[in-house]
Amino acid sequence: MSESRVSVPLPVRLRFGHAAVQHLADSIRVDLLHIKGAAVDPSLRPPEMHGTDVDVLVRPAHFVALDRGMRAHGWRLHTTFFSGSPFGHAQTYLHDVWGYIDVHRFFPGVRLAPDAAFERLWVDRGSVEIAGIGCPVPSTVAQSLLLILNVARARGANPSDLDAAWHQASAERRQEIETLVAELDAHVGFAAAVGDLDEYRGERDYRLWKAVSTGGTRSEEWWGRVRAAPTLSEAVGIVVRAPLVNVDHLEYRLGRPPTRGEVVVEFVARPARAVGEAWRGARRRGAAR
Amino acid sequence: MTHLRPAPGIAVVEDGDVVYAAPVPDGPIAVLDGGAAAIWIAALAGERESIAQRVTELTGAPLSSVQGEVRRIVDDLVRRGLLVEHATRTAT
Repeated sequence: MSESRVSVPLPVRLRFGHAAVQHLADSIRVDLLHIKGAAVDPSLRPPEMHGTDVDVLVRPAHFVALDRGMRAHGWRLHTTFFSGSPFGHAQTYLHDVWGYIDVHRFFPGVRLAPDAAFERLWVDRGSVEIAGIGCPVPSTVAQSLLLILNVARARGANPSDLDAAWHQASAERRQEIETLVAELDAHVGFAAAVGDLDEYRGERDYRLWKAVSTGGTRSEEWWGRVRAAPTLSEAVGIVVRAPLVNVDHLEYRLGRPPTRGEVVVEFVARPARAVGEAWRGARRRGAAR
Repeated sequence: MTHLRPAPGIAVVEDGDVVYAAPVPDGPIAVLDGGAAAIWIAALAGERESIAQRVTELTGAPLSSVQGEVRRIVDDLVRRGLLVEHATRTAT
């Protein structure tokens, strides 16, 4: 057969990635919701905006089973919850055939407890067929909210998502989204996306959203994350982990496993980089006065 | 009468004139371009016995020139576990 002399386009690989992880999840009875990319309703995002990876939200109680199953089928951990975004919400895996997948244990901006939030999204889920495999997806209203929250977290990237999900939404749809914002306790992240963040100055996660939605420095993000922690022990955990070198992230930057010397170099360079960012942040604030 | 369909656990993406099929969750991805893509599409569109006719309709090629190739590729797709036969009952 005239097979496989061409490379597989990224959008095709990503569709297979959705199908592969869903087939695995079905076989081990793990609940997943496919978010972003090919899973998004076409009314909210054109299919040609496919992104660069697959994103799924897993029922938190099922995460360990999914992680074990993925590793048994060729996915390798690429970045951890602690070395990815300042929210610590997702782990990235890489598969030689399917590419990258982000497994979310919660969605940034949703403050309702992760198990309860997943169940709220799960009860009115829909399904889309991706590469011939039925993939559960949040309702269109919930997809709208997740896109809006994602815009805030991505420092204004994908403004067309905000346009489609919010600015062009009908009054009825906006009401549905705001109802879901209340149910999921997502007021602060939602406000960060639609420009009302300053109404939430007193909230514990205000600084984190301020930093990520306006392009704050790494140290501003870090302090925001500490302040956003719901408990003292979680805040302490963030402080304790902060000085550790993220070897997986360094490997990603280098394109190969770091040597012993490179790990040491990263450990030394990191505080210097944070100082540099703080210096530039201070310079910006000074110039704005 | 027999029909063919993607085997259980086979994910399929049609992208332009190329068909990609893969066993999930392990892979690999089989890339069916050109004639193989046409044969895949024709194979799923009706009875197994008349795949070659449908290929001629899709491609405009003479039946006599495609029959052998169609049979060989369909057998190969079945052997690889990408397609599977299923019997259909005739309405009475």
